Amino acid sequence: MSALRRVPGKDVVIGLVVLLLVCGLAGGLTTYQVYVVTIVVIFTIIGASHTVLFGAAGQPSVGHAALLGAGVYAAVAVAANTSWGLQGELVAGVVVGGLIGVVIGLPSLRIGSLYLAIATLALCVVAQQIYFEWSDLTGGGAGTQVPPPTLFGSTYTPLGLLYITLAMTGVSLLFARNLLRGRQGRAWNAVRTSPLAASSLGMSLGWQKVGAFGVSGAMVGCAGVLYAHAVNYVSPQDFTLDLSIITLVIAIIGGQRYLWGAALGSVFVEGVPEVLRATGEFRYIIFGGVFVLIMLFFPEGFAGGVVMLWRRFGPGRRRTAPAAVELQPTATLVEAQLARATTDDTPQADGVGLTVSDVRVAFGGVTAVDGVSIDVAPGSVVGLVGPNGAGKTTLLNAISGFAPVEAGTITVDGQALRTRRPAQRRGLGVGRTFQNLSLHEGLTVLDHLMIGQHSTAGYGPTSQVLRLPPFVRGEARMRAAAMETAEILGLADLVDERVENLAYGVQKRVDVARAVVARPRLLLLDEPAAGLTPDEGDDLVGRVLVHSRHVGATVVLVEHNIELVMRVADRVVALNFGRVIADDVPAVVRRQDDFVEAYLGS
Amino acid sequence: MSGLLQALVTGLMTGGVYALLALSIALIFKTMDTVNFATASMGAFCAFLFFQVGTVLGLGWGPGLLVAALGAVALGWAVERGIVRPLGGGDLFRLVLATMGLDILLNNATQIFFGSGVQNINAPLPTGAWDVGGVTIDLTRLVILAIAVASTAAIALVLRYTNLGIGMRAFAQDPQAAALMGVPARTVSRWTWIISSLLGLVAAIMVASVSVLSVGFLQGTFISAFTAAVLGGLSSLPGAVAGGFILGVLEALSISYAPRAVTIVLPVLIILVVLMIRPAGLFGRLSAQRA
Repeated sequence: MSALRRVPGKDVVIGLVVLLLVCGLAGGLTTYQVYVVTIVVIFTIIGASHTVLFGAAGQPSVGHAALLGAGVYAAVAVAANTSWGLQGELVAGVVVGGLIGVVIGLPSLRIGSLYLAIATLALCVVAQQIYFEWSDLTGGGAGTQVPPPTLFGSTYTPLGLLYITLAMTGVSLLFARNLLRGRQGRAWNAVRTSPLAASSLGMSLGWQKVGAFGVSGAMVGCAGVLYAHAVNYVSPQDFTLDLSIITLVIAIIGGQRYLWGAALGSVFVEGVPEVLRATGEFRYIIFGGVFVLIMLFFPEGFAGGVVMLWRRFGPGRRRTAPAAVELQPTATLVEAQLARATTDDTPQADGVGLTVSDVRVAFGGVTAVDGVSIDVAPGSVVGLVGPNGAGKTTLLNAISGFAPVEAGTITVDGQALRTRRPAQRRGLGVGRTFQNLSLHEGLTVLDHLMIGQHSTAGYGPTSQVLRLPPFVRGEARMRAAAMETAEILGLADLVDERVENLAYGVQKRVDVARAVVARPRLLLLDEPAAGLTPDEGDDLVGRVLVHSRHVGATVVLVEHNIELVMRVADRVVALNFGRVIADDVPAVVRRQDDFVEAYLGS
Repeated sequence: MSGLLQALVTGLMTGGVYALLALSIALIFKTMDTVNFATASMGAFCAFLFFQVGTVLGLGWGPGLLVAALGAVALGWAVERGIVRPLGGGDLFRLVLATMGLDILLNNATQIFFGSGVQNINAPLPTGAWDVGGVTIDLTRLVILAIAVASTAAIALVLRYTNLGIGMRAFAQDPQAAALMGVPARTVSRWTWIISSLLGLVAAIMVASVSVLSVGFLQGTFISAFTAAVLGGLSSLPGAVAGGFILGVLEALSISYAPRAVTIVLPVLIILVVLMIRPAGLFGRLSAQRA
């Protein structure tokens, strides 16, 4: 089953078959039915644009009516002023829609998603006003007639337009599908499900959303051009807030996590009321009732419901529970210690040095880190210990860029970090784990391991959309690295599990695996063993150290389990009240008076 | 000079309505962390009730107001019970979307029950105008301003001095802590929606009495009020009221002195600029990191 699921492009074939089926049946429809089907198909594109923006990147927009209007009026302007034909209109619609999308998205560099949703609301209302006022182009309140579409010199009937629309929908959905499957889609999902982890992995939260807005806008712009020709006559009255909301409802009711959900949603929202036309005005009430029921019983929409039922009753349903993870505490820890003894033989020692000098971090009146200086040699393992509130995690946050440094400098590999954002620090090779798990809900273990390699994927969005060789090679290499890391961390049997179904101890492994899979040159581990049984903790720390020796990373390990730290660390730094009270090899620190006092009391 | 003064006076009067509706929006946002996009259609539906009972059935404005108020209370209660409570605990956006769905549903229901005609509400407000030193003061609008100020003051008193109000403020700061201290979360939630719904009704009748009553007639005012709430700070009630007056004056000034294009894009400009520079609004504070 899982082999079948891995066959690439099965979804594309199914999509193609559905499109051809609609094409084949379209010939026998009345003019009005052709119109309804065309509208349903166009709204599938718009729904899919929400799948990208809302479903993946997590940003709801109620400004899509404005974007649709932009596409429509781009088509009207091109048709009226040029002889470029439908192909020119489509290019114009995509460009205008994409640009407006980017502009609306820009505030996300500064503000959170709720406030951005508010901004899209304002856009929607004002854009409609602008369309009303710009009467030279739009005809104002009276509206304007759209000439029949002309593609490469020949003019098309409504049925011809339906075929063109089906083709464009196929292209748009393939474009969105290729973007969503691969580095870009994983990044959007990562940003949505855990912004904190995403930025530690080298993703810029703001720019990811700007990109999603641009893609979404371009898709809606394309839909707008087709819409203009489908309805023949457009008026600014069409582009209301209600229309925006309806497009969002299409995505949500269809299942905003699935592209094909947009098609189901569009059939329901645009098609069903036509079927219910006989019931008169009450069709909207029936429609609203079904919507509420779907939201209550299938929170992931039609597509989510279908997937859920398929998982439970389909031919590939799981008969056995996932195997328990194997635990070899002593073995791995011994291995880790052995690896430490033979540091000289490490295959590649590209760990980097870390220098923290005189760093101060304060929150309001509380000084959490007070003039700390630490020197970590490349390739070594340094344990950072201290009682609760000693400033260990704050120091880690300062190094990875999540806490503001008031004074002092931090350098990694000789480069000062001061002004770099967390996402940029990843580029220098800084990777970290989180004390409180920061996983991506709904994604599998393998997804996490791929997300962890975001900054080392080696291909960009263009290769990804066109499925060029860099994409194919990059994906293969990342998958191999992911499987290797999964093997070392004992996750190999669980790669296809969604993380929320895993036990806490295993989730902890996933968190660590995501941080180490891209081979950070400086790995910051924030209490990896917290919340685990001693055996589990030994096992996890042992495994990750085996991995980092394997790749030659420098490790800073924050941990409360002193015995564990003493066994694995080359050097131990003890903090208390934000200051360094001990810094030496484990055997020496263990006997130092103030260290013992801080831990055990005098 | 008198032109400027006239713009200020007109602006303050329009601002009164914005302030009232902004208060309705901010009240929900502060306690419930969500934006009720059905604010306008809820108010409009009840204003139609007022018109139906008072004018069409000819029972006069007293019974009309009573039925409309009862309708607003029932609507607020029903929305809280039927939508907010089942969806509230989960995703913020689902609640926002649900209110958007409710907006569509209520607009259609209004059209089915009351028709799509344009009505004149004939509110029992004085007409005429005073001329004070070259500045015209419209009496209807002055009374409306007075009602808006009185309603705002009433809300302030409720929030400050009643048990319910103190509970609402505590709930807004930290729902969990408030619940642990014995603040009945459901009661607070229910009354927040009822009060917000009543504010919407008052605003709707006032807008209708200076313009007309039709399906969706309150949408424009809602957008302005929403802009005002964002401007003043969605999480600050005094801020929302101040934002209403500021926006009213800004709009009046831009109508008098700026090109028409500026007046049209004013709300989106204000929202974008405020969100970029001070996301919490002029008077608000960002509480926890939201979404």
